Amino acid sequence: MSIFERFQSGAIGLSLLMLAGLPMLSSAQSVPRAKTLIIAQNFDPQTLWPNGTTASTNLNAGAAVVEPLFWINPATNKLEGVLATSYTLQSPTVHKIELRRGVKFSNGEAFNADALIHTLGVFVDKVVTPAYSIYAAPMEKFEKVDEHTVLIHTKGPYPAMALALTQVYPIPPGYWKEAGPAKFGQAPVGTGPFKFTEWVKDDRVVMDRNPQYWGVAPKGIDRVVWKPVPDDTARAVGLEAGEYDIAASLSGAAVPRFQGQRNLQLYSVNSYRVFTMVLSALPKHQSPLLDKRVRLAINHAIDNNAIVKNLFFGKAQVLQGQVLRKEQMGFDPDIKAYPFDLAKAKALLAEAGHPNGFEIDFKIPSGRYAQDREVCEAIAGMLAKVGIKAKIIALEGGEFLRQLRTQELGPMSYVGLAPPDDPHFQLSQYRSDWRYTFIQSPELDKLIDDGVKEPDVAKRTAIYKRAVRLIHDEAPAVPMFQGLDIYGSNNRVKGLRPTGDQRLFLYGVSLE
Amino acid sequence: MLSYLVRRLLATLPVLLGISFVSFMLLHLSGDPTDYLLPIDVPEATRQAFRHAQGFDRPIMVQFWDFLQKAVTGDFGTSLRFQQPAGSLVWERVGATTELAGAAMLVAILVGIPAGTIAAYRYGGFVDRMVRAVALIGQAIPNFYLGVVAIIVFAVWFRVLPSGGRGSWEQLVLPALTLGFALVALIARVTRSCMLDALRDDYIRTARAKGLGETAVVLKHGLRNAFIPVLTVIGLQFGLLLNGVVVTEIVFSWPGIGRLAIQSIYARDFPVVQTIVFLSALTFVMLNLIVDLLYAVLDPRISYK
Amino acid sequence: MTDRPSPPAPSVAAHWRVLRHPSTWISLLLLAVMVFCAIAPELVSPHDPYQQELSKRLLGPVFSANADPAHLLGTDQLGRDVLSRIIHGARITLLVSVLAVLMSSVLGTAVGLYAGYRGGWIDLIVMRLIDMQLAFPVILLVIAVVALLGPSLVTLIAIIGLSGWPRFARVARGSVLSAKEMDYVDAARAVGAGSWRIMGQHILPNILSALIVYASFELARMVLLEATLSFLGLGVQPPTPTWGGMINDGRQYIFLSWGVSFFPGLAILLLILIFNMLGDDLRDALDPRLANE
Repeated sequence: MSIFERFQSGAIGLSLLMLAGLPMLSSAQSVPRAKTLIIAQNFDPQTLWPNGTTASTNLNAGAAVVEPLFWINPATNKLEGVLATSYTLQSPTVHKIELRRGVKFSNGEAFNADALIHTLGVFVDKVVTPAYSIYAAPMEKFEKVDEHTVLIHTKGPYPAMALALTQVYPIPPGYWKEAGPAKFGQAPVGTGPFKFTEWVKDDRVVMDRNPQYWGVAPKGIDRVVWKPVPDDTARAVGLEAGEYDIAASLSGAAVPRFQGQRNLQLYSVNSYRVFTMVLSALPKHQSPLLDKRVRLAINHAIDNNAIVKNLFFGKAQVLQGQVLRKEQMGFDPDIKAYPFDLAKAKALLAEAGHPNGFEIDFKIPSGRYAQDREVCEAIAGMLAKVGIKAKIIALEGGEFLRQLRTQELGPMSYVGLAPPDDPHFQLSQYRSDWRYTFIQSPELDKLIDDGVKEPDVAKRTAIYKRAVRLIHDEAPAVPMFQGLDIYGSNNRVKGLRPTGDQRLFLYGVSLE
Repeated sequence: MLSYLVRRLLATLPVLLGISFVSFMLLHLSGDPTDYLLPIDVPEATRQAFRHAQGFDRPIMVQFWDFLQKAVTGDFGTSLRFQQPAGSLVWERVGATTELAGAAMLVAILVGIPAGTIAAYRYGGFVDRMVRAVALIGQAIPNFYLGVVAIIVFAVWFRVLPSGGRGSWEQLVLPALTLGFALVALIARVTRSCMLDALRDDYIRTARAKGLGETAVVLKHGLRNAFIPVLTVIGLQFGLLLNGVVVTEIVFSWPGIGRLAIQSIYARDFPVVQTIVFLSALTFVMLNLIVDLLYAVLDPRISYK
Repeated sequence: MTDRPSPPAPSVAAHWRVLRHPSTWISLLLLAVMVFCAIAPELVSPHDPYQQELSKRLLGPVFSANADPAHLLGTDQLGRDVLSRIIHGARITLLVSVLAVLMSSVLGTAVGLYAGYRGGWIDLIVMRLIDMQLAFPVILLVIAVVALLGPSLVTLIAIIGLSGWPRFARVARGSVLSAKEMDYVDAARAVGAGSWRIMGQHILPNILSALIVYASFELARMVLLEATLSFLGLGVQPPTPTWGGMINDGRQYIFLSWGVSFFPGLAILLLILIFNMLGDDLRDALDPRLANE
């Protein structure tokens, strides 16, 4: 082969390569960049059917197309109707929902009571919708009153029903029956301000404005593109460079870098995710932690303020010695966190028979939560100061979850739980029969059971306060801090209000 | 020749089967992926129903046999994470990985061969020593480290290139250079040593004596004879390239097969991992075969019976 | 088979010839430094690598703006001294790669010798196994196994060691095939020596030099593999410092402090370079004919 021939074949090869790459560059450039909102999340959605999973990356994209019945407006913190207009209690077990009139799915099907009842039937189906069975469990029967009114009958009183209704996303029955959950998740149809256009896996999800939208569409946005960018640095750099308009789940390291920049905004949101150290008081995890004094000693040995100040730039909220957040019902302002006091910790350890500390396994998640390994290494360093040698066992995400579920995370671990926002769900994690509880207390169980049924708000609050105090006193955990979610956007984006459960609603967002 | 081809193809079958079996066993021995697919607070009964629906509660050999039967028809199962056919999920990313590997290979050839040739031609000189030094470093530097350093320099300090993703040609530059760097080093070294041998040979002296210009001598005669061993090395390196692609895709968030493989391993997405393992083994085996055949075509002295 | 002249076993003198290259001296010296760091890091490192100082996180190396002179190469995300962690990190890397190479060389050579000598269907099976393992994308195999079995020192050494045996086996087998027909082997057989004896006494010494050269390159490859696994979070557990792990930890903080990722990588690069250069020099010295391999 002469050089010329070789260059020829090389050129052909190169052109073929470029052709392979071309489809990536084209993609219907008919919508101008100025009217396109590009959002970078840390994962590609698995499905765009909102009730398919509880992962926020899926929900954020899916919910722009398939709307919920209600939502909690971050601007007002109140329950507001989206596809429903009102929710009232006809009796403790009968819940009445009025539907919005004149709403159609983008494929022409009508949104009405039949559609809602079909949706609810799918919602409570444990095989199709396993991820939401915890909300669906109390629901028993659905009754159509008229075209725009539905009654839900529950097995007992269900104070968290309003919360459950924010998790119901009505779907068009005809298209659902034809496509099935899997196909629906790949190409959803809903009532939302945007219609699904295309999904190139691991590259982008594209949605275009729905001209038939019943409500007020986000202004100035004709197209939304969701891009999966798993690398934290790449997400931050892309936002800076103008590749993305919004970047979700930025790491703490982005804060100092962005603070000076005038065309970027940072949003720090205190997440609903609550980080605690698990100190197993279960008999099956034989360790010095079975002695309450040791558990208290550990509470005194961890300097949460230092961790928040140094690892989270002072922006995360330290928990006040209890597992409920300040805003939640049942939070007791009289309970204070155990103060950081190394001398007291050592004294307690000596009293419990461990004057020189001890060795203990410390199972930690790696890459499951932001900076998890870092926080755990910091914890281990602090424990070393009182003589406790924590032997770190880092578990990758899936394995960590598995061990959480099978109660193998004892004797000591670190976990960030984000159950639904009702105190019942948060406290249920400490029920003795809950799969991954690390405390066995019949008294606590009773409080939890009473709380879920109590319709009177004042009485319910009192019950939960007692439960929280019990957990504080028994110390099966070290309550550490609320997670911090950091989002960034450029100045063209207005009205963005990310919520504590990592949801990015596009209602009220506009692009200049 | 044809019978050789057939025999070689047949020989690949037990290899592919063995690999599939081993990877299937490995994945399934670690437990089931239900924890990744369902939220943790799901009631036990629901979990069991899900496991049953997915077929995870069947004995392992039954699951493997099921997998084989379907694989033969091209059905590699459904991805547990994405609810999509694993085959199409992998196929969608083949383009991305091919683009990256191809670009890296192109860079390596376009830079490596001339560098090696010049180094050989100017044996002992400055260029020769530079090329050898860079080649030495290139083969020693871990490619994820090179990627991270490249990001530090070009994306963070100078902000001239993006730090990841795919779509614009700028996003291809750093990953391709990172992946190709080790290859450039290797190709340059091999070209250099083969050219050294070739240039010393008798027919070169003959060509020079005949009065042919230097360029013609070097390029036409030298390179043509050095081509075969260089080609062999290039062919073998494609396999190594596949190895390097995995880490490069992670460092640069390149949406290719390598990154999909890692994510799927962590998520216990069995069907996808199976598919990728199978396809990469197949690719590697086929590439070896092609290189062998090219070898035979180019060098008339070699023939296969 | 033919009467090929027996390959000369490199004389003892040839082994010492390698020391003539200045590059060999430099490599050996640097290697000695690394080994010393691995054996007695406390004597060299300026700080305790586990000592955290949360308020002194992510300080830069001594020539940068926010440096602390006590920390030459800066501090990591928990305020630990980077230089000390690099010095202590040498232990894991060297331990894993040396043990893994020992394992794969012994295993691979034994299998290769036996298969080549015996021939027949044993040889066929071994060849298929070699092909199978070399066809497998190694990195995926290793990642999958470590991710699934859980990272631990023993798992790492075992898996990395297992990933290397085919190459040694191939080399050993190839040498046996040519040596098998040599006169001295026939002579030994005629005298009644058993197969293992023949392999051990006659064949092995002849291929030893090739194996040593190979081992040097395999060491380099295994250092890289260990670093890659640590980078992916599948290496030895924190807080034990590993070079690859440090690079990975530093990735999130590239904006704030590039040194956390940069310096450990230099250590990896240096070690791999050393092993590659030693391998090259050994090869040149022991058998120039191997140079075209």
